[in-house]
Amino acid sequence: MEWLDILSNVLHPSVSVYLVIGVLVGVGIGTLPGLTATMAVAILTPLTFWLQPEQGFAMLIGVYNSAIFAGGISAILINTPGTPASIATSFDGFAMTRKGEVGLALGINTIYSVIGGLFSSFVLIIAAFPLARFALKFGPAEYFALAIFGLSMMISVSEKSILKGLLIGTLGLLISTIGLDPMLSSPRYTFGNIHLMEGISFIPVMIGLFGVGEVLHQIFENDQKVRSIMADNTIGRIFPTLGEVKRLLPSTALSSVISVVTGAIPGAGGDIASIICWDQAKRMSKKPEEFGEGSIEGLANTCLANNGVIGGAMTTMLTLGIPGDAVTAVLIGSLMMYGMQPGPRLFVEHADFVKRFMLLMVLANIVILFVGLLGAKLSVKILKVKKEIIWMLVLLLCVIGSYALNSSFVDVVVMSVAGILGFFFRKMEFPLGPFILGMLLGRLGESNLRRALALSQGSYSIFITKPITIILLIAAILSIVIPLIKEFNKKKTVQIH
Amino acid sequence: MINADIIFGSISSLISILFYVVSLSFPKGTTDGIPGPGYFPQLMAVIIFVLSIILIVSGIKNKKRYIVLNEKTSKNVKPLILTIAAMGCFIGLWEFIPFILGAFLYLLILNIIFKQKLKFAVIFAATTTAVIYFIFVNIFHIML
Amino acid sequence: MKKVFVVMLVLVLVVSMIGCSAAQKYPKKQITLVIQAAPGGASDTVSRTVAGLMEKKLGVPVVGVNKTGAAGSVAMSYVKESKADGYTIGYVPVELSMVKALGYADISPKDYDLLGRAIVIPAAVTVKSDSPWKTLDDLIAYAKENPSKLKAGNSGTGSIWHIAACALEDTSGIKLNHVPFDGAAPAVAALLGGHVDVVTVSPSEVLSGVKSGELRVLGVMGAERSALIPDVPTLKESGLNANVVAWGGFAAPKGLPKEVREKLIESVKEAINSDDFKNLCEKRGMDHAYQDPGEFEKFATEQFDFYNTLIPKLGLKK
Repeated sequence: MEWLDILSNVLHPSVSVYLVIGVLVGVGIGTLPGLTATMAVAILTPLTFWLQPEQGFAMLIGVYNSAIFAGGISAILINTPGTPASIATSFDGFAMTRKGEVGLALGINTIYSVIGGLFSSFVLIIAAFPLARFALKFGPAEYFALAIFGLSMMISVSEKSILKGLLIGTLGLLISTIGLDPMLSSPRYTFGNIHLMEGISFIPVMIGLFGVGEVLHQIFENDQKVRSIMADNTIGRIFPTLGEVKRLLPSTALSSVISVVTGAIPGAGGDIASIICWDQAKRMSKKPEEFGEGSIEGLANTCLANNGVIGGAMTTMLTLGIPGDAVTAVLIGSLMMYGMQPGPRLFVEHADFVKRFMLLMVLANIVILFVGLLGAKLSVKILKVKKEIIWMLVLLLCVIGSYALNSSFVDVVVMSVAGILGFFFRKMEFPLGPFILGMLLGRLGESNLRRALALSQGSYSIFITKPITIILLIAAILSIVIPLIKEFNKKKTVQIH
Repeated sequence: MINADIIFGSISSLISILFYVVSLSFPKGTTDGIPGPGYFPQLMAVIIFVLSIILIVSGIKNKKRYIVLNEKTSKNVKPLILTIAAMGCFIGLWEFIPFILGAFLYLLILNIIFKQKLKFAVIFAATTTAVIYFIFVNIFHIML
Repeated sequence: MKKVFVVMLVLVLVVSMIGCSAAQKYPKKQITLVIQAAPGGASDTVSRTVAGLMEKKLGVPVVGVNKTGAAGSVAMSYVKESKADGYTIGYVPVELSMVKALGYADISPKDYDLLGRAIVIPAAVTVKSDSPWKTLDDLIAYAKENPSKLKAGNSGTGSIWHIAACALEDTSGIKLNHVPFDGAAPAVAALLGGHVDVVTVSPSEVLSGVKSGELRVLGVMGAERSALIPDVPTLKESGLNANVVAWGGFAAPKGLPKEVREKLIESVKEAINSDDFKNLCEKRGMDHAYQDPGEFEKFATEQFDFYNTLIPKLGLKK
């Protein structure tokens, strides 16, 4: 079948209606903190078995894309990332809301999520095999270098004080060592408690720091005269101006590529990609000082990155049968349930289905564009509600969301402790970014350092003989050194004057 | 009032010492140079200790106060503490009382803390609890 | 006064909603099925499918709840300590027989009323197809000449697929360089990328690579050949006595009332032996292997004894 026939096939109401349902469900789940895209797809999978494969996958693809997109909505509106992939979205998104640019923030989230999604879908269509081959080059040494590269961003996400950023980031790294150690499975800091063996889960910490921490902060800073979170009730414009789009072009183009590649690498997903893209955008920007204070460049790049990952992850899954992230791991299961084994043979044996799958990716993003832009006005209504009501809802949803994740009471406790810490971190000017980075990358870095050394039988030469590893490590060193030099120069000029 | 940086630095240096001491009992790395389970936490603990000391020193030099009680915020201390207490009670009673009841009371108490009208409070708490319970239990099949 | 009345009314309503349960025969309310793994994996799929089929038979919702942690110990401990009323049951994987030896939790098959075994998944010894090893003997001969040089990827130290590689070492007298990964899929990715030489994971994990001609399975470690790759011999056929399989079944807390127990056993049996479930096994690359509670208990206890000798011997006890 040719592409045109397939297009008419997937546009047929019997398929497209499931796509729209999927997108809408995904928006709901994505905005609720604690309910992740993985969970959304896993929960919907059994429901799709009585559907045709293209119908079922229309729904799942819709859910996956829109849940990641919608995670940004709650990051922008209430400073609580709906999914881990939206952490970096909250850096600038909420600041824009407070500045009264909430419409623009939501507009950018929608438009750039869709751009990221579309770009990665086209990569999936055109270059699935070469990309997946490249992703396989990532062995333990490369993952270690990637983690170091990610960690080197601690300085640039440190906001006011590099010292505090590094301190809190290292604390995040230390906390990531709690649990069974990744190589020998010997318990560390678990004190015999089996609930700690899996380690401190990341999502409850994230929900606590951002959600509860933010609400407590707002309660403390509460000005009784102001009724809602936003100063005034207008949402402002939704669409960016042409000039803004032009300004965003170079950094977002690079982010598109970075995010697709990151997505294709198994085990590296939207959370890492969006932080990397935020950082590189900051470095390319003419106004880096705006980052974290409501920069549209920062926002656009993170929104683009977390959706750009999807096509990359799908590439690895479809061509190799290896999950690119947690969601695609679930999707492999669904494909197999339909009697299709992902891998190179899929492109031969079920060529039509693969083409439908790719077109559904494209269509899902188009549906998101409409839903997002139409919904932007609607979702702003949330902000017109009295702030006390938002606080109460967030305080309740954070507790439920952290429990829902794994039906674990320990996670609820972790969440609330993180919430109280989040309040003090905010008050004491400790940036949250480095902490998140440390928790996120600690295990990746440590396990792959030790894994690589196990492969090389203790020889460190494994880190300097592979091209990808060298490039990433050099990039890491540069991103540590350059800001320090800039800082140093700045101080010098100040002294001269 | 003691400087907050000094307090934080002291706590984090104590944490680093604790983690370091505990890690001494972890299995050792192998003889051919592959680091063991203790290597990474020990490295982090040392870094944290050094950074904490720097923080304490800089805290002594610059006496910045972070949590400032002024006309605006001093009114907010009570609701803040009460909110944390309410959340603590909700979580503390999690395993002893059914979710619906706990969530309802939690919302009701939050409403009172935030000085909402009682009639509104009851309606809001009841409907929110019901809707959330329905969404999570009946749609997502998550036991609460 | 009116306000107080409203509050009281709502409280009464809420409490009565929860307490509402008339004296009926079992089952009269929702049954919780505790799953030890994250959503989407093989354990989760098996559990949720069986839950769906049990629901039809029992007439009440059977709801899967995921509780991950410590190789399933969190979920299994939870089930063990739950009330033996038939309203909390759990999926029990091979780790039921392993976690005590690994030192995670004090759990043995004797702590449960087992309800029936569902599936068996053998370990598949897999290499790249452009590697020089065409048969298991080639691989073993190479490993004997180059001790500790062969890099064997597994899904985590102490996991069943790591034990499988250890059992292979043990029975053939070779020495491998074990490299643990964070799950089976990353290990397979590392094999495809040429970062490790051999993996011992489930056949379904390597199937797409096998079908595309990139990977080669040299042997499966089950008692019988795997239905998924029927051409591949078992290790037993190659003269090696290594039998390591992952399995999964269902269990309830010890001491169920007789009537409840019988009802659960019957519904589990019917669900597992249904065509729907057999279909699922075939598609997901698991071997359908129902055992009734008696056989299952004997099997699980044998496994328990096996791992409690093997694991300490391997020096894996924590």
